Amino acid sequence: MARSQNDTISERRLRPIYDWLDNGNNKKALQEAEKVLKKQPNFQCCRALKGLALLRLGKEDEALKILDGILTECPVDEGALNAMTLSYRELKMPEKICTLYENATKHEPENEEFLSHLFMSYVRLGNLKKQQTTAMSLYKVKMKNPYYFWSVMSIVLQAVEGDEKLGQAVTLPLAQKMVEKMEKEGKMEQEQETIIYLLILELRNNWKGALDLLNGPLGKKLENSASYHLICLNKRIELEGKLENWSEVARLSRNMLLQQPDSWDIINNYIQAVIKLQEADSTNGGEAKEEGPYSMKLNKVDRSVEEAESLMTCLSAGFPGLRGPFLAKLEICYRTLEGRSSLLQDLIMEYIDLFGGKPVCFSDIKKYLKVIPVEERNNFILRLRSRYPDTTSVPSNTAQIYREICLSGIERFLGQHLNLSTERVDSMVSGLCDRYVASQPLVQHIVTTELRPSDGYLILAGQLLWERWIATKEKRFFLQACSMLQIGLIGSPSNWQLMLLLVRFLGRAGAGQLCDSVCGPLDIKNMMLDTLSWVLTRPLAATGYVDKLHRIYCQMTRFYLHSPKETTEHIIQAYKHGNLSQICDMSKLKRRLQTTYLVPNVYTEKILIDLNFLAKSLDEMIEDAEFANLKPIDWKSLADNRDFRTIQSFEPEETSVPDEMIATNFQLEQAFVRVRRATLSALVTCLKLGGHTEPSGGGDKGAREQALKDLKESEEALSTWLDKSKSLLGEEKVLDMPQAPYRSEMNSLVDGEHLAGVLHCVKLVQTIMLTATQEKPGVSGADFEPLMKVLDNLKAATATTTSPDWTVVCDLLESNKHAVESFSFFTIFTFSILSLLRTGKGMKKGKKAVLGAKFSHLEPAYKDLTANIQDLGAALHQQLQAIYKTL
Amino acid sequence: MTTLRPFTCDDLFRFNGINLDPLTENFGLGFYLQYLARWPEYFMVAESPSGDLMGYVMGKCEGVGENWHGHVTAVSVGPDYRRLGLAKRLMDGLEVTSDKKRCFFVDLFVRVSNKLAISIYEKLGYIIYRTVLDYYSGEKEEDAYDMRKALSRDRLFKSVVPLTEPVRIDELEF
Repeated sequence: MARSQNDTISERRLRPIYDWLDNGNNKKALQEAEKVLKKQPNFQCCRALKGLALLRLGKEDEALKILDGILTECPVDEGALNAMTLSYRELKMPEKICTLYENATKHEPENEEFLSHLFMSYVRLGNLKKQQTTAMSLYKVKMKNPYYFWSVMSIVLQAVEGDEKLGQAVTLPLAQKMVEKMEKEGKMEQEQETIIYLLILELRNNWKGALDLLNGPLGKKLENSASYHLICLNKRIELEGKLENWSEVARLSRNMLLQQPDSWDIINNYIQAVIKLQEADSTNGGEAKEEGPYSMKLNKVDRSVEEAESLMTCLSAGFPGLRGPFLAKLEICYRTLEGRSSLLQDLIMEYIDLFGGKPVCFSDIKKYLKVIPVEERNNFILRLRSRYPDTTSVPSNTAQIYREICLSGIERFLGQHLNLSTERVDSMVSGLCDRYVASQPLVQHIVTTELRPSDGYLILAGQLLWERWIATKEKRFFLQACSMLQIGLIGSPSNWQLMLLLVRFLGRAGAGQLCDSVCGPLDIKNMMLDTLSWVLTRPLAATGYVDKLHRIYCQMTRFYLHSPKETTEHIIQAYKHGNLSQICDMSKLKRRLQTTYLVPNVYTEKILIDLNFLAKSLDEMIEDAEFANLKPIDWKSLADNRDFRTIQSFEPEETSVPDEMIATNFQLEQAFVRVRRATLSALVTCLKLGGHTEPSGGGDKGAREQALKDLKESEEALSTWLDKSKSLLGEEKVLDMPQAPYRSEMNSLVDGEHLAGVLHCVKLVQTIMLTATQEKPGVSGADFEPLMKVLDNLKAATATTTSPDWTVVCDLLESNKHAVESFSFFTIFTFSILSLLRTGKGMKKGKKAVLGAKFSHLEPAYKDLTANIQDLGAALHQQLQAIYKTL
Repeated sequence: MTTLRPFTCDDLFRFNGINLDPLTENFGLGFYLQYLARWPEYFMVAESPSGDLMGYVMGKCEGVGENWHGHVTAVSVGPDYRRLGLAKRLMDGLEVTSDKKRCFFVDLFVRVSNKLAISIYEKLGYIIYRTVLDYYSGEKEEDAYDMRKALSRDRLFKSVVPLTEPVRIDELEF
């Protein structure tokens, strides 16, 4: 009794601290905690809360001292444990939460709650083996199914994320055995348990086993559930397909189609099965065909394409207005195309008749248009146009607008827009614009949050103008396109297709700031930062809008920092709610977000902006360098999450963006990140050298050796990736189209010898360092020469600018941005060179540096170098002024 | 014509064509994950034959007693796939799931200015149950309609008797 009274008193004393913490008043919470601790100095929970308050006040070191102190006492008090878990989470030290609960469970090995917390703490770390054993310990303490399946799931994840062979040979069989045991003992309770069972069998490619499970009592129970009915039906068909039981696939999918004739995945399964059956029958001599009209009864097995076509005819009659059965006919024809090309064309026309008035039509038929033989395309278009003669000048309803855009899109897709003369483009664009204007009365009533159907005319016209602009370099095409798209946006301010196209135009002409204002309404945030930010960041980077770019990069850095952690917290939620099947998917998401190449890219570029543009003094630069977190990158597993599908296009194969092009572009992007990371790493090393080392090779030996090692690594990365990039650039197929990736920034980086300059600097710094410690014969003035040459070339390049045409402004600005960056890099390197050459401790402001005895002969070379860099700076300044005058 | 399937995390990388819509909220990652972790059966996506995402519906079930109901958190269809009855298919799916879970009704919130969406919901059988004052915060502060549709368990349609007085956001149970 006495104890519980004490507890109540303690609880009462803690209440205000919790309240202050909840209200975000951490100062008051701290004061309150200190007050309580005066009376009860050993009160663990109160000390933990004090730690939390300190931490939230930014006093992390002090907080950590308290928290780590409590940690060694192995607390078992629930309040203390909770406060410490929260603190360590906020301190980003998940491993300490494990220690916390490891200790607690040692004290109370049967405490369900502690074990459960321990399990979750391992989930945070991704320690699957320990998850597995902890879940089993939990199950031993409390025989609850979820704990058992937490363990099973942890094993499955080991197989999914680890070595495949080991997974197949050891982990998955173990997981299967564990579930089978539960099944035999009749202990399977939740639907998700069966789902996991199914997942294991599928991961083992045991299709028969999976199907038996689905058809057995557990499967039937699953099928009758609210959540998994549809999944079961689809899964059964999928598994029958894997087992090549085509008649079963045909029967089951047909049964489903009779009720849901618009399900595309089922249609695909059905068509595949029927074609397989027909092929088998033709080799076996075949089965007798049914006579008479096509029967719509359940459980029939269609074995011929004819029957499949009959089914679709009946379905479209029974469900008028549905696209499914019609598109299915196209798909059947597509899959049995030999000798049926004209039928396919007829079917396409029929499809356009029926559904051309819907915006979805073009994307539906794209796949089938592709297989129309090139020599038949003209004729096809003529037939199409004669069906919908282009005579009425004003569309009379929105369906007509959509149909016209679809027809123009088809023409473009079938290559009719390739190699057009300027006159032809002019007349087509004015035709499209006329249509746009004429259709306005039909779309005026549409609210601004909706997209207007007539905007499609402008998209098509914009694409035509783009090509002419690039081909002729005539400014008027650019201006016409931009004004047209801007006008479009006045009437239809939410149309992101117009915005994206306009951004590409503006970006191509080097108007970075305008890109930013056009992109504003797109509100690129959250996941879109990963998939769509490339549209904006590249023109901003090329044109040197570093302030805005820096803001986006900060936003992205935060996103990449928090997302994996957030995902882990939801993985924990999925465990808690028993939605185990979501865990594999979420783990995959976490990996995908962690491995996107934008993580190292954005971080590197952000620090480079800090150093080159935002730091206001040398001290600030050195501070930035100290804080730069250049942890190793797993280059082999980088992923590309950029979205190239969202920008609408009616492109024919010649100008569509093939996957290989995206892949090459991605390789170049990675090469870019590698050289920039190597550059940054060298800069950071040199800034630290300049800021800290003793002159002329004195100072901390360990630090110097580390610096030499880092510089060597940078040098190797730079030279390797400079060479590789050159050969990659040779292979790069650049498609200068609005829907394609931007031309890689590697181009201007390699062209301008910027990388070569950095490489020479890195080499020079190393030579000087090695001379200082006499590991290498003396550095001489000749060692400065390669760098001087690059400087001369960069200076010479600044003089060549004349009034540029607008298609090259962006490239010009980009190479200038690189030149400005290089200027800044060289300055930083020179700073570290001077710090190595000079004598006397510390670099004092206003005092002239004197070179050490070993290096006094380098004075002329060093002076030349600094003079040359200053000249480059002056020349760049002049050139930038000249460029801005001409633009 | 659609492939209707559960929403997966990979879809988050592909749903820009739907989420760029100004009236479709582009939520933080955690928001979607919360639904995937707790109510995966309420999160469905429709994929087009060309493999693009057409639309999705995200929802949950909650409440006690006669308040046990399905809730539509977001339903959105990309502009190229509108007027194909896709929203209906997505909502039907959610209603069927809720019905099987023995919910009494399904509800949703919509901006009072979003006439188009309101008329779609009305066609789908939803009624304006009540007005919620200042439900939407941020740049465009606005009231919401709480719209409801009764499910088979609510045989007497008790859940869909409209309230005459608007409610404040802090008076909402859900």
